[in-house]
Amino acid sequence: MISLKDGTSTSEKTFLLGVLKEHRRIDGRSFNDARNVDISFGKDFGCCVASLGNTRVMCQVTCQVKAPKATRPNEGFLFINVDFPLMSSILLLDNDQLLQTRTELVRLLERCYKEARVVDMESLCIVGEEKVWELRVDISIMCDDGGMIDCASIAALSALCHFRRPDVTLEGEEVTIHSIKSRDPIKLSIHHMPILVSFSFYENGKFVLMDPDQREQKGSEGLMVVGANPFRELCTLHRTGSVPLIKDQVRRCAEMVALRARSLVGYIKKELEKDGALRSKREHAGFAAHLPRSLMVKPPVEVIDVERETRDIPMRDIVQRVSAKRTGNEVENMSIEVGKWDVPKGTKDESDFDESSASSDVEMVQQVTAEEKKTVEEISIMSDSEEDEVVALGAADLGFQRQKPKPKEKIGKPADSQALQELSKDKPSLKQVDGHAATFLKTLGNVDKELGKQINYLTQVSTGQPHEGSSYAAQKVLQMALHRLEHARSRVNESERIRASHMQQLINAGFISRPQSQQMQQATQPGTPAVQPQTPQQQPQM
Amino acid sequence: MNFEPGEIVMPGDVLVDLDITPSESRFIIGPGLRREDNKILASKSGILQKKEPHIFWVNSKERRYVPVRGDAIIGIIIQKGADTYRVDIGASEPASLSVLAFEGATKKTKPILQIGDLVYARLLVANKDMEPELVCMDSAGRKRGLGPLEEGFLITLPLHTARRLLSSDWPLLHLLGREISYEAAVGLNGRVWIKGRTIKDTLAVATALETSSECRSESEMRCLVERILACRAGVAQED
Repeated sequence: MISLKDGTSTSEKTFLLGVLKEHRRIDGRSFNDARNVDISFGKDFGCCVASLGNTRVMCQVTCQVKAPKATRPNEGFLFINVDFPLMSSILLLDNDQLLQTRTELVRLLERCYKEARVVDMESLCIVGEEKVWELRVDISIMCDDGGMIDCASIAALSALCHFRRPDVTLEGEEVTIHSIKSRDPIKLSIHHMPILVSFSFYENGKFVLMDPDQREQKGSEGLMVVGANPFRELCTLHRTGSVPLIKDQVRRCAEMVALRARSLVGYIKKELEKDGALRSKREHAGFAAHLPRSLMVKPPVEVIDVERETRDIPMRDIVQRVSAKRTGNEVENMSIEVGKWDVPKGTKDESDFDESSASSDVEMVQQVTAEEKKTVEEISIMSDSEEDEVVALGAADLGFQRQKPKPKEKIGKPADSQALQELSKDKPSLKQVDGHAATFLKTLGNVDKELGKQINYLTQVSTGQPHEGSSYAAQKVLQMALHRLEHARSRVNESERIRASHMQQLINAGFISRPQSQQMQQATQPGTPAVQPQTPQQQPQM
Repeated sequence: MNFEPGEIVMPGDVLVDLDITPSESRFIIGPGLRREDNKILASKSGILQKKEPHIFWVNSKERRYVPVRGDAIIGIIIQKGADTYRVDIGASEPASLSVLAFEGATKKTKPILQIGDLVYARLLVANKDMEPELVCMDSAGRKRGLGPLEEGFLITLPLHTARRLLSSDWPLLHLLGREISYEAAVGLNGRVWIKGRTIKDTLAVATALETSSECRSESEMRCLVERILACRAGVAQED
């Protein structure tokens, strides 16, 4: 967000890099850890304070009736405003910088909440072409310790979910707006809940930190803000600074944001429920109720374990990939992960999503219910160990890969026929034709890509290379079984040989008559030609 | 006296109005208090403190530094001029530091400082109408511990925490120093520079200092130091 050249000492920068090189972070987090989030709701609807570590942001949603735009007569407005006092951040030195940061914040939030269509705008219409609701989201930064945008997005989302607008009734031409006291106010209809998460980069993208605090932000070479919702849909991607990133890093970041969004949205929903329960019981809701009763001072913070082991396995993995050449195995692994992003989803209900997605996703959901930090760690480990994944993904991904190209071809047909239709008209609109052609080309490109992937996959199957979702696991089991069989056979041979030698001893002692034993020896000898030189003393070692 | 020592005062509170309650005794007022005509007012919110016989001041918790003459502070060079450096001291405006204000500096042998370097300096001029001015030596021209700070790490603490570090009844730095060898410079603008032998040591000290701002009593602080040292020792054994 803010990349400040001056006001940062070289000592801080070099020390930060030194710490990162030891795979630690200054505050003891691991590279993929985010700080703790806390949200509390005010007495009014749509008022929320969110904190992320020491960063605190307050958000208030209000509404008023306005005339709609002529181009969109049935849609309401969503207006986002960020109030950013100069005192809230130590980084800000002058007004220019403040304005720049403010604009950046507003634009990002608009992109994430307005352009990604979080709020159903048509439900804000009262009378078409005459009266619509305008929602105003006022965000004020109270304290900046890095991650303003993350915190602002959490506050804005919580406030939007918490907000209720007054009920409206229409009688002929007459519009009545009921006060909150006389009639229960109405919730906004929220389509999906995206969260913004920032990442900072160091040493040309060698180190990537999730949720950097102010010190880390100051020393960073570049920042990236990724917005995604719990359905693993990307909503925003914004980059500042001049760090060359590789695709895998962006993907990994997006992957992590989706996971974080899932846990955060769960948390927000839980807090909303708590607040709703308090309100329905007519108990005290609001900031005062959220404060701990006995202690007005901030309680002593847990001492951070300075020497905590870092668990940044996936990031280190990426770094290795930058330096080392990629193996076919890894590339295949990634392509499957990417494929998951564009799973076509009919419904946006979370429960439906869980059932429809691959088995690996179900596993992730279970982990998300556990502690937040743990989740990131466990998942990173899961996606890292390939053998586990073979078992977990297996058939589900195979089926999924085969299904995928189909809907895209369906989309493709209307696009090209539309383009032709447009051309066949008397007055073809060049713009529309271009648009349709572009869509068609894009679809073709997608089909091409999928086909390439499919071919790649088939080559791997036919050449017997190890890969995800193949018979690799079964082959391994088979191989193991063969080994075991071999082992068993040698054991059997061994015991047979010992039996024969004992028999020989008995014969020598004269307990059994000779002809019988000779027959036995002749029967066993052809089976065990290699084992014969061994002595009976070696038997216990087997 | 309208307020007793130990009470919370807010800006604008009148402590003594000599027109109403004439008093023979003298008052010596310190930070956070201000005299206006015959009144003594609080200019900061905090806890009123008194030292016998008549010294009063307000102990406030704040993060933004307001320059005071004679304070030793840590600044970051943000601009280089022909004969002055401009230094960010965390206040509302940057301070100036003359190139000649270093020990043994002449027009020919000037200290070489780069943008982003840290300096430990003392405020020579600090008032509301003028730009603050820094020096890196005492009146006799000796450096007395002031000057450029190299390497290490800089942390920013609330001002009261930084002040507390320097007070004799808060032996945090000494306690840490028994186990960890490190150098530190405490600026009254809340900035603390730390340099340990290894990155681990520096981090341990930085964490201790930052977390100590939440400590409310000395016993809590001792407990904190013990835990941090135990953490550090635990890892040393694992290594």
